[in-house]
Amino acid sequence: MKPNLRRQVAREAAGILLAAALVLAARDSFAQEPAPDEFQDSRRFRRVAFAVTAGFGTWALSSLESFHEDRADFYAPYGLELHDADFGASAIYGTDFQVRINDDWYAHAAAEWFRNHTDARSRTTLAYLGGRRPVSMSIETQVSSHPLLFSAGVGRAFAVSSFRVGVTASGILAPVRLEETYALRLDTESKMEQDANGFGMGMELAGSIEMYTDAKMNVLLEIYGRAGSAGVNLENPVFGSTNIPEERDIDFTGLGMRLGFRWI
Amino acid sequence: MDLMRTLALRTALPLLAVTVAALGCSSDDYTVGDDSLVLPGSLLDAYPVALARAREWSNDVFVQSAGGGFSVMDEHGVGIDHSYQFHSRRQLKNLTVHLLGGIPWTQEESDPIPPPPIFVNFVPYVQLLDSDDVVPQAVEEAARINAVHPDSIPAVTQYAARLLSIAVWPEAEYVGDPTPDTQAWRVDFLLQQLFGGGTTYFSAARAYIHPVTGEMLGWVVPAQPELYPFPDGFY
Repeated sequence: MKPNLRRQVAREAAGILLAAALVLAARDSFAQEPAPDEFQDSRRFRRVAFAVTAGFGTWALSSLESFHEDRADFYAPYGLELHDADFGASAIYGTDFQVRINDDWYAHAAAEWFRNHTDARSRTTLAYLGGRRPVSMSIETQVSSHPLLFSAGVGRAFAVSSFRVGVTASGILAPVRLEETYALRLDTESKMEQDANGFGMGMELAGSIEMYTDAKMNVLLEIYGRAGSAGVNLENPVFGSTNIPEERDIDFTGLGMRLGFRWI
Repeated sequence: MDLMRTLALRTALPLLAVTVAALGCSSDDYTVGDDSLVLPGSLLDAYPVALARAREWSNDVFVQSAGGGFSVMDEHGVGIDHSYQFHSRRQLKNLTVHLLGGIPWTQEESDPIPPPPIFVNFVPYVQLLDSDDVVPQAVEEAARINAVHPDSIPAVTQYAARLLSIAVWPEAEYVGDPTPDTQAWRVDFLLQQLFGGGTTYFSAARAYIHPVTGEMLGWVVPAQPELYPFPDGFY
């Protein structure tokens, strides 16, 4: 499947899921009376709950893929094979606030810091005065939140045995920063870094399972899928060129996992 | 509780609408702006990138030469690699900026002797003819000469154009005038020949063209093609 088509399908699916979640939330929240006592049902928790999480995710950076392919094609005649710079794992640290709407439904807002790092490197030899001279190039691409990625949405909790299972749909506001370091070695190494900043939006669907503890501190495991994109502009446009584009579109479509604690 | 519920829903629904609308807008994966260096490009197209890189090194730099080095071009005077040399009086050093597909590779070297006087600076370089002006001009001129005097200028497909900030014409060695007094574009007609067990570039002929007026100043056709230094040593 082509990247554009994949992206479109992911967006459509995420949109349908988020819409369905909101419709269910609206129906249930108007149909049910709030329960008189808190903590009678394991699905319930205090009106406000706070969580801290750490985890990892894969950012496909799928719209960078076509650019990286074009750049790899550009440098192929030099004998350089610059591949695999369009996919990587990211470290994620976040916080999450949940506000209970009723017995089952909750609204949430979260902020997270993440960083994703990929690189492409290759070496070859360059014809020089009848001989060959080693040349190597590496391009490191880092995408990170700038400063934090924000999400907000609604979710529903289910009681499964002694666990609290939740499904959450969210919209994402994603200020992101792309840092790219180009290193070229031909006898001596020369390095340059160019940065690009931008803003994007997206959607997230997450499934979580929490284990209650006596300390009213749930152990939280969350799996999520994301679809969205951000446009970034080169901070110093004078360096813009065919291989350092002024504007790039970063798709942060991917899957991830968070582990953490929620105080209920 | 009702108030919170209503508030949450009223917040969530517009958020959904905005998000879907934003994601629905298709956009290009990347854009090379109008002001960017679109490759292949001419020497003066690529000059701002090299100058910006040199100014990161030292903000008092001035350019001494453009072209030579990696700058091998087609008959239109454009290429994908470009080379420039800058000097910093504060650092008493030269910085050579080679752009390999727009990505810089730099070399520093000490140069305690003050650089030669600048006859025509590159800034504002918009007044200067560019490599995509002078290379096609030299190619046309060579065709005209060959039509009258067949095989006078070797037929080639690769060229190099370089502009120094010092006078280079007339060439003392070939023209006999010991004091060059004119700054000029030098357009080399390049051949690849065997050298040292491999192939490298040789200059089969060179034309000199005035950098502002475009006047054809003259030709030098050596008896044998001369080694064309690549990728450095382009003085």
